[in-house]
Amino acid sequence: MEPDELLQRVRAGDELAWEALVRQHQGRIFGLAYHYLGQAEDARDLAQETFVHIYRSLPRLPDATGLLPWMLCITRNLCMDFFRRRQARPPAWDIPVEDLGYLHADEADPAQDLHEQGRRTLVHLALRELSDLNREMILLKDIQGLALEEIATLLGIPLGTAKSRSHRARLELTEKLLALGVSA
Amino acid sequence: MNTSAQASPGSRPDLTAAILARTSGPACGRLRELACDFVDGTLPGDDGELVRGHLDHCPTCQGLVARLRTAALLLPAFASLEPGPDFTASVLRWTHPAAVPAAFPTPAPDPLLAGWARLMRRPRAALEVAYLATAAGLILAQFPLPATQRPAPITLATLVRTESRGSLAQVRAHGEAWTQRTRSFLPALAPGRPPGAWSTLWSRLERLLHHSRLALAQAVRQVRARVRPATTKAFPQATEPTKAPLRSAL
Repeated sequence: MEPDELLQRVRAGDELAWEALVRQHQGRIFGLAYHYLGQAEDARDLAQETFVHIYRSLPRLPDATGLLPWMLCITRNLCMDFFRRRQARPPAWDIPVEDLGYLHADEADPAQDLHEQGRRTLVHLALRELSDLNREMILLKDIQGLALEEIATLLGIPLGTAKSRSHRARLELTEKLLALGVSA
Repeated sequence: MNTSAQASPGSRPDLTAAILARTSGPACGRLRELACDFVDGTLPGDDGELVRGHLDHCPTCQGLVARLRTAALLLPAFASLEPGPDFTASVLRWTHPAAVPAAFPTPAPDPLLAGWARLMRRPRAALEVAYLATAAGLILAQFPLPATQRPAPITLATLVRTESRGSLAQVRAHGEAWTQRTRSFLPALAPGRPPGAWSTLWSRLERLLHHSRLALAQAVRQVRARVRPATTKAFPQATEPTKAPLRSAL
Protein backbone atom coordinates (compact mmCIF):
# COMPACT_ATOMS: atom_id res chain seq x y z
CA MET A 1 0.00 0.00 0.00
CA GLU A 2 1.23 3.48 -0.88
CA PRO A 3 2.20 5.60 2.14
CA ASP A 4 -0.27 8.32 1.24
CA GLU A 5 -3.13 5.84 1.01
CA LEU A 6 -2.14 4.33 4.34
CA LEU A 7 -2.20 7.76 5.92
CA GLN A 8 -5.57 8.45 4.36
CA ARG A 9 -6.95 5.31 5.97
CA VAL A 10 -5.35 6.13 9.30
CA ARG A 11 -6.97 9.55 9.23
CA ALA A 12 -10.31 7.90 8.47
CA GLY A 13 -9.97 5.81 11.65
CA ASP A 14 -9.05 2.44 10.10
CA GLU A 15 -7.58 0.44 12.99
CA LEU A 16 -5.70 -1.95 10.74
CA ALA A 17 -4.05 0.94 8.96
CA TRP A 18 -3.09 2.43 12.32
CA GLU A 19 -1.54 -0.88 13.39
CA ALA A 20 0.44 -1.00 10.14
CA LEU A 21 1.67 2.53 10.73
CA VAL A 22 2.74 1.65 14.28
CA ARG A 23 4.63 -1.44 13.09
CA GLN A 24 6.27 0.57 10.33
CA HIS A 25 7.64 3.33 12.55
CA GLN A 26 7.98 1.86 16.04
CA GLY A 27 11.63 0.89 15.50
CA ARG A 28 12.66 4.43 14.55
CA ILE A 29 10.70 6.01 17.39
CA PHE A 30 12.03 3.55 19.95
CA GLY A 31 15.55 3.89 18.51
CA LEU A 32 15.57 7.66 18.87
CA ALA A 33 14.11 7.52 22.37
CA TYR A 34 16.62 4.84 23.36
CA HIS A 35 19.55 6.87 22.11
CA TYR A 36 18.35 9.93 23.98
CA LEU A 37 17.39 8.27 27.26
CA GLY A 38 19.84 5.40 27.42
CA GLN A 39 17.37 3.12 29.22
CA ALA A 40 15.32 0.53 27.34
CA GLU A 41 12.37 0.67 29.75
CA ASP A 42 12.17 4.47 29.73
CA ALA A 43 12.55 4.48 25.96
CA ARG A 44 9.74 1.95 25.57
CA ASP A 45 7.41 4.02 27.76
CA LEU A 46 8.33 7.17 25.90
CA ALA A 47 7.81 5.53 22.50
CA GLN A 48 4.38 4.44 23.66
CA GLU A 49 3.63 7.96 24.83
CA THR A 50 4.75 9.25 21.43
CA PHE A 51 2.28 6.99 19.63
CA VAL A 52 -0.54 8.03 21.95
CA HIS A 53 0.38 11.63 21.20
CA ILE A 54 0.38 10.91 17.47
CA TYR A 55 -2.98 9.14 17.76
CA ARG A 56 -4.47 12.17 19.46
CA SER A 57 -3.13 14.35 16.65
CA LEU A 58 -4.37 12.23 13.75
CA PRO A 59 -6.31 15.09 12.12
CA ARG A 60 -3.06 17.06 11.98
CA LEU A 61 -1.05 14.20 10.48
CA PRO A 62 1.31 15.53 7.78
CA ASP A 63 1.73 13.93 4.37
CA ALA A 64 3.95 10.91 3.77
CA THR A 65 7.15 12.87 3.13
CA GLY A 66 6.88 14.90 6.30
CA LEU A 67 5.60 12.11 8.52
CA LEU A 68 8.87 10.67 9.82
CA PRO A 69 10.49 14.04 10.66
CA TRP A 70 7.23 15.04 12.39
CA MET A 71 7.21 11.83 14.46
CA LEU A 72 10.90 12.19 15.33
CA CYS A 73 10.29 15.79 16.33
CA ILE A 74 7.51 14.68 18.71
CA THR A 75 9.79 11.99 20.14
CA ARG A 76 12.63 14.41 20.67
CA ASN A 77 10.33 16.96 22.35
CA LEU A 78 8.95 14.28 24.66
CA CYS A 79 12.52 13.26 25.52
CA MET A 80 13.32 16.87 26.40
CA ASP A 81 10.17 16.98 28.57
CA PHE A 82 11.34 13.78 30.22
CA PHE A 83 14.69 15.38 31.04
CA ARG A 84 12.96 18.49 32.36
CA ARG A 85 10.81 16.35 34.63
CA ARG A 86 13.97 14.75 35.92
CA GLN A 87 15.47 18.23 36.29
CA ALA A 88 18.84 17.03 35.10
CA ARG A 89 20.19 15.57 31.95
CA PRO A 90 21.36 12.07 32.77
CA PRO A 91 24.23 10.34 31.05
CA ALA A 92 22.16 9.68 27.97
CA TRP A 93 24.56 7.16 26.49
CA ASP A 94 25.00 4.95 29.44
CA ILE A 95 23.86 2.07 27.29
CA PRO A 96 25.45 -1.24 28.17
CA VAL A 97 27.26 -2.74 25.22
CA GLU A 98 25.30 -6.00 25.55
CA ASP A 99 22.11 -4.00 24.91
CA LEU A 100 23.34 -3.49 21.38
CA GLY A 101 21.58 -6.73 20.58
CA TYR A 102 18.62 -4.45 19.97
CA LEU A 103 20.29 -3.48 16.73
CA HIS A 104 19.01 -5.18 13.65
CA ALA A 105 21.43 -7.69 12.20
CA ASP A 106 20.78 -8.03 8.50
CA GLU A 107 23.88 -9.99 7.54
CA ALA A 108 23.23 -13.60 6.63
CA ASP A 109 26.84 -14.77 7.05
CA PRO A 110 27.58 -15.30 10.80
CA ALA A 111 31.28 -14.35 10.40
CA GLN A 112 30.36 -11.16 8.59
CA ASP A 113 27.67 -10.54 11.19
CA LEU A 114 30.23 -10.87 14.00
CA HIS A 115 32.63 -8.52 12.22
CA GLU A 116 29.90 -5.94 11.65
CA GLN A 117 28.71 -6.30 15.24
CA GLY A 118 32.24 -5.60 16.46
CA ARG A 119 32.50 -2.50 14.31
CA ARG A 120 29.10 -1.30 15.49
CA THR A 121 30.17 -1.74 19.09
CA LEU A 122 33.24 0.39 18.43
CA VAL A 123 31.15 3.04 16.67
CA HIS A 124 28.79 2.97 19.63
CA LEU A 125 31.71 3.44 22.03
CA ALA A 126 32.93 6.37 19.91
CA LEU A 127 29.46 7.90 20.03
CA ARG A 128 29.42 7.64 23.81
CA GLU A 129 32.55 9.76 23.99
CA LEU A 130 31.10 12.64 21.97
CA SER A 131 29.85 15.82 23.58
CA ASP A 132 26.05 16.08 24.03
CA LEU A 133 25.74 18.67 21.26
CA ASN A 134 27.73 16.68 18.72
CA ARG A 135 26.04 13.42 19.68
CA GLU A 136 22.61 14.95 19.09
CA MET A 137 23.70 16.17 15.66
CA ILE A 138 24.99 12.71 14.73
CA LEU A 139 21.82 11.16 16.11
CA LEU A 140 19.49 13.37 14.09
CA LYS A 141 21.47 13.74 10.88
CA ASP A 142 23.57 10.65 10.36
CA ILE A 143 21.59 8.06 12.32
CA GLN A 144 17.99 9.18 11.79
CA GLY A 145 18.72 10.73 8.41
CA LEU A 146 16.94 14.04 8.92
CA ALA A 147 17.76 16.82 6.48
CA LEU A 148 19.74 19.79 7.75
CA GLU A 149 16.74 22.06 7.17
CA GLU A 150 14.58 19.80 9.35
CA ILE A 151 17.25 19.69 12.07
CA ALA A 152 17.58 23.47 11.99
CA THR A 153 13.81 23.82 12.43
CA LEU A 154 13.74 21.18 15.15
CA LEU A 155 16.56 22.71 17.17
CA GLY A 156 15.61 26.31 16.38
CA ILE A 157 19.00 27.21 14.92
CA PRO A 158 20.02 28.75 11.57
CA LEU A 159 20.73 26.38 8.71
CA GLY A 160 24.40 27.41 8.53
CA THR A 161 24.85 26.66 12.23
CA ALA A 162 23.27 23.24 11.79
CA LYS A 163 25.60 22.50 8.90
CA SER A 164 28.77 23.58 10.69
CA ARG A 165 27.72 21.67 13.84
CA SER A 166 27.11 18.57 11.78
CA HIS A 167 30.57 18.84 10.18
CA ARG A 168 32.23 19.31 13.55
CA ALA A 169 30.35 16.36 15.00
CA ARG A 170 31.32 14.06 12.16
CA LEU A 171 34.97 15.05 12.36
CA GLU A 172 34.98 14.51 16.12
CA LEU A 173 33.39 11.10 15.64
CA THR A 174 36.01 10.24 13.01
CA GLU A 175 38.80 11.16 15.39
CA LYS A 176 37.27 8.93 18.06
CA LEU A 177 36.99 6.09 15.55
CA LEU A 178 40.65 6.52 14.64
CA ALA A 179 41.59 6.50 18.31
CA LEU A 180 39.60 3.31 18.85
CA GLY A 181 41.29 1.70 15.88
CA VAL A 182 38.18 1.12 13.80
CA SER A 183 39.21 -0.27 10.44
CA ALA A 184 38.13 1.63 7.36
CA MET B 1 40.80 21.78 -13.88
CA ASN B 2 43.10 18.83 -14.39
CA THR B 3 45.78 18.35 -11.77
CA SER B 4 47.22 15.20 -13.32
CA ALA B 5 47.91 17.08 -16.58
CA GLN B 6 49.68 19.85 -14.67
CA ALA B 7 51.92 17.43 -12.73
CA SER B 8 55.28 17.03 -14.41
CA PRO B 9 56.63 13.53 -14.87
CA GLY B 10 59.53 14.26 -12.56
CA SER B 11 57.43 15.57 -9.68
CA ARG B 12 57.86 13.68 -6.38
CA PRO B 13 55.67 13.76 -3.26
CA ASP B 14 58.56 14.68 -0.99
CA LEU B 15 59.38 17.60 -3.29
CA THR B 16 55.77 18.78 -3.10
CA ALA B 17 55.86 18.48 0.68
CA ALA B 18 59.11 20.43 0.83
CA ILE B 19 57.71 23.20 -1.35
CA LEU B 20 54.47 23.37 0.67
CA ALA B 21 56.44 23.43 3.91
CA ARG B 22 58.27 26.54 2.67
CA THR B 23 55.17 28.23 1.23
CA SER B 24 51.55 27.72 2.33
CA GLY B 25 52.03 24.68 4.56
CA PRO B 26 50.13 21.41 4.19
CA ALA B 27 46.53 21.69 2.96
CA CYS B 28 45.14 19.13 5.42
CA GLY B 29 43.23 21.81 7.36
CA ARG B 30 41.43 22.90 4.21
CA LEU B 31 40.64 19.28 3.42
CA ARG B 32 39.04 18.81 6.84
CA GLU B 33 36.63 21.62 5.97
CA LEU B 34 35.62 19.92 2.73
CA ALA B 35 35.85 16.27 3.77
CA CYS B 36 32.20 15.85 4.87
CA ASP B 37 30.84 17.36 1.65
CA PHE B 38 33.31 15.24 -0.33
CA VAL B 39 32.08 12.04 1.33
CA ASP B 40 28.44 13.11 0.88
CA GLY B 41 29.12 13.85 -2.79
CA THR B 42 27.86 17.42 -2.47
CA LEU B 43 31.18 19.08 -3.26
CA PRO B 44 31.36 21.09 -6.52
CA GLY B 45 33.39 19.46 -9.32
CA ASP B 46 36.51 21.61 -9.10
CA ASP B 47 36.79 21.27 -5.33
CA GLY B 48 36.24 17.52 -5.61
CA GLU B 49 39.11 17.23 -8.06
CA LEU B 50 41.43 19.18 -5.77
CA VAL B 51 40.45 17.02 -2.81
CA ARG B 52 41.12 13.85 -4.77
CA GLY B 53 44.51 15.25 -5.81
CA HIS B 54 45.40 15.88 -2.16
CA LEU B 55 44.14 12.49 -1.04
CA ASP B 56 46.37 10.74 -3.59
CA HIS B 57 49.42 11.94 -1.69
CA CYS B 58 48.27 12.32 1.94
CA PRO B 59 47.80 9.10 3.92
CA THR B 60 46.50 10.99 6.99
CA CYS B 61 43.66 12.56 5.06
CA GLN B 62 43.03 9.25 3.33
CA GLY B 63 42.44 7.71 6.77
CA LEU B 64 40.14 10.58 7.76
CA VAL B 65 37.99 10.22 4.65
CA ALA B 66 37.92 6.43 4.97
CA ARG B 67 36.66 6.68 8.58
CA LEU B 68 34.05 9.23 7.55
CA ARG B 69 32.83 6.77 4.93
CA THR B 70 32.80 3.95 7.49
CA ALA B 71 30.78 6.06 9.91
CA ALA B 72 28.35 7.06 7.17
CA LEU B 73 27.94 3.38 6.35
CA LEU B 74 27.47 2.12 9.91
CA LEU B 75 25.52 4.90 11.59
CA PRO B 76 22.16 4.35 9.84
CA ALA B 77 22.09 0.87 11.40
CA PHE B 78 21.57 2.56 14.77
CA ALA B 79 18.38 4.27 13.60
CA SER B 80 15.92 1.45 14.12
CA LEU B 81 15.90 -0.67 17.25
CA GLU B 82 13.59 -3.51 18.14
CA PRO B 83 11.41 -2.40 21.05
CA GLY B 84 10.27 -5.88 22.01
CA PRO B 85 7.62 -8.38 20.96
CA ASP B 86 4.72 -6.95 22.97
CA PHE B 87 5.33 -3.32 22.11
CA THR B 88 2.86 -3.07 19.22
CA ALA B 89 0.10 -4.75 21.22
CA SER B 90 0.75 -2.39 24.09
CA VAL B 91 0.58 0.67 21.83
CA LEU B 92 -2.64 -0.57 20.23
CA ARG B 93 -4.12 -1.14 23.67
CA TRP B 94 -3.25 2.39 24.70
CA THR B 95 -4.51 3.94 21.47
CA HIS B 96 -7.79 2.09 21.36
CA PRO B 97 -10.75 4.48 20.99
CA ALA B 98 -12.02 3.34 24.39
CA ALA B 99 -8.66 4.17 25.97
CA VAL B 100 -8.37 7.48 24.14
CA PRO B 101 -11.94 8.70 23.77
CA ALA B 102 -11.00 12.19 22.77
CA ALA B 103 -8.72 11.05 19.98
CA PHE B 104 -9.60 13.84 17.64
CA PRO B 105 -10.42 17.29 19.01
CA THR B 106 -8.84 17.43 22.45
CA PRO B 107 -10.37 20.02 24.77
CA ALA B 108 -8.15 23.00 25.30
CA PRO B 109 -6.70 23.10 28.82
CA ASP B 110 -7.62 25.94 31.11
CA PRO B 111 -5.22 28.71 30.00
CA LEU B 112 -4.84 30.03 33.54
CA LEU B 113 -3.92 26.63 34.99
CA ALA B 114 -1.71 25.81 32.02
CA GLY B 115 0.09 29.14 32.38
CA TRP B 116 0.60 28.58 36.11
CA ALA B 117 1.91 25.05 35.51
CA ARG B 118 4.26 26.35 32.82
CA LEU B 119 5.47 29.08 35.15
CA MET B 120 6.07 26.64 37.97
CA ARG B 121 8.19 24.45 35.73
CA ARG B 122 10.69 27.28 35.63
CA PRO B 123 13.04 26.81 38.62
CA ARG B 124 13.60 30.54 39.01
CA ALA B 125 9.89 31.34 39.14
CA ALA B 126 9.33 28.59 41.69
CA LEU B 127 12.19 29.97 43.76
CA GLU B 128 10.70 33.47 43.60
CA VAL B 129 7.30 32.21 44.71
CA ALA B 130 8.90 30.35 47.60
CA TYR B 131 10.78 33.50 48.56
CA LEU B 132 7.62 35.62 48.48
CA ALA B 133 5.71 33.03 50.51
CA THR B 134 8.48 32.99 53.14
CA ALA B 135 8.56 36.79 53.26
CA ALA B 136 4.75 36.92 53.60
CA GLY B 137 4.90 34.35 56.41
CA LEU B 138 7.53 36.35 58.27
CA ILE B 139 5.56 39.60 57.89
CA LEU B 140 2.35 37.96 59.10
CA ALA B 141 4.20 36.52 62.08
CA GLN B 142 4.98 40.07 63.20
CA PHE B 143 1.30 41.03 63.48
CA PRO B 144 -0.66 40.08 66.60
CA LEU B 145 -3.14 37.30 66.20
CA PRO B 146 -6.87 38.09 66.61
CA ALA B 147 -7.89 38.51 70.23
CA THR B 148 -8.98 35.33 71.93
CA GLN B 149 -11.70 35.11 74.54
CA ARG B 150 -9.21 34.99 77.35
CA PRO B 151 -6.77 37.87 77.21
CA ALA B 152 -3.18 36.81 77.21
CA PRO B 153 -0.93 38.22 79.93
CA ILE B 154 0.75 41.42 78.82
CA THR B 155 4.45 40.97 78.55
CA LEU B 156 6.97 43.72 78.30
CA ALA B 157 7.69 42.98 74.65
CA THR B 158 4.00 43.06 73.74
CA LEU B 159 3.54 46.33 75.53
CA VAL B 160 6.51 47.94 73.86
CA ARG B 161 5.39 46.71 70.46
CA THR B 162 1.81 47.94 70.92
CA GLU B 163 2.84 51.31 72.22
CA SER B 164 5.43 51.75 69.50
CA ARG B 165 2.82 51.07 66.89
CA GLY B 166 0.49 53.61 68.48
CA SER B 167 3.24 56.19 68.59
CA LEU B 168 4.18 55.59 65.02
CA ALA B 169 0.54 55.92 63.99
CA GLN B 170 0.38 59.26 65.77
CA VAL B 171 3.54 60.44 64.09
CA ARG B 172 2.19 59.35 60.74
CA ALA B 173 -1.10 61.17 61.36
CA HIS B 174 0.80 64.31 62.28
CA GLY B 175 2.98 63.97 59.21
CA GLU B 176 -0.04 63.65 56.96
CA ALA B 177 -1.70 66.66 58.53
CA TRP B 178 1.54 68.56 58.15
CA THR B 179 1.73 67.64 54.47
CA GLN B 180 -1.85 68.73 53.86
CA ARG B 181 -1.29 72.03 55.54
CA THR B 182 1.90 72.58 53.58
CA ARG B 183 0.00 71.98 50.39
CA SER B 184 -2.54 74.59 51.42
CA PHE B 185 0.35 77.08 51.80
CA LEU B 186 1.78 76.37 48.39
CA PRO B 187 -0.20 79.15 46.63
CA ALA B 188 1.82 81.54 48.75
CA LEU B 189 4.83 80.61 46.57
CA ALA B 190 3.13 81.90 43.45
CA PRO B 191 4.65 85.07 41.91
CA GLY B 192 3.01 88.37 42.68
CA ARG B 193 2.70 87.68 46.42
CA PRO B 194 4.13 90.21 48.88
CA PRO B 195 7.77 89.46 49.98
CA GLY B 196 6.63 88.55 53.50
CA ALA B 197 4.89 85.38 52.26
CA TRP B 198 8.09 83.27 52.63
CA SER B 199 8.64 84.32 56.20
CA THR B 200 4.98 83.60 57.04
CA LEU B 201 5.25 80.15 55.49
CA TRP B 202 8.51 79.41 57.31
CA SER B 203 7.10 80.46 60.70
CA ARG B 204 4.03 78.28 60.17
CA LEU B 205 6.15 75.31 59.24
CA GLU B 206 8.26 75.85 62.33
CA ARG B 207 5.15 75.89 64.48
CA LEU B 208 3.83 72.70 62.91
CA LEU B 209 7.15 70.96 63.37
CA HIS B 210 7.22 72.07 66.99
CA HIS B 211 3.73 70.63 67.51
CA SER B 212 4.81 67.36 65.94
CA ARG B 213 7.83 67.15 68.23
CA LEU B 214 5.65 67.80 71.24
CA ALA B 215 3.21 65.09 70.17
CA LEU B 216 6.05 62.65 69.66
CA ALA B 217 7.55 63.48 73.04
CA GLN B 218 4.14 62.99 74.66
CA ALA B 219 3.76 59.62 72.97
CA VAL B 220 7.20 58.55 74.19
CA ARG B 221 6.31 59.64 77.73
CA GLN B 222 3.11 57.62 77.60
CA VAL B 223 5.06 54.58 76.49
CA ARG B 224 7.56 55.04 79.27
CA ALA B 225 4.78 55.51 81.81
CA ARG B 226 3.18 52.25 80.78
CA VAL B 227 6.40 50.32 80.44
CA ARG B 228 8.01 51.41 83.66
CA PRO B 229 5.52 49.79 86.11
CA ALA B 230 5.93 46.53 84.29
CA THR B 231 9.69 46.70 84.54
CA THR B 232 9.57 47.67 88.16
CA LYS B 233 7.19 44.85 88.82
CA ALA B 234 9.37 42.40 87.01
CA PHE B 235 12.57 43.57 88.61
CA PRO B 236 11.79 45.10 92.04
CA GLN B 237 14.52 47.34 93.41
CA ALA B 238 16.43 46.05 96.37
CA THR B 239 15.46 47.87 99.54
CA GLU B 240 18.44 49.23 101.36
CA PRO B 241 18.47 49.30 105.17
CA THR B 242 18.27 52.76 106.66
CA LYS B 243 21.71 53.94 107.50
CA ALA B 244 22.63 55.36 110.83
CA PRO B 245 23.36 59.11 110.79
CA LEU B 246 26.96 60.06 110.52
CA ARG B 247 28.78 60.66 113.70
CA SER B 248 29.84 64.11 112.56
CA ALA B 249 26.21 65.10 112.07
CA LEU B 250 25.26 64.30 115.65
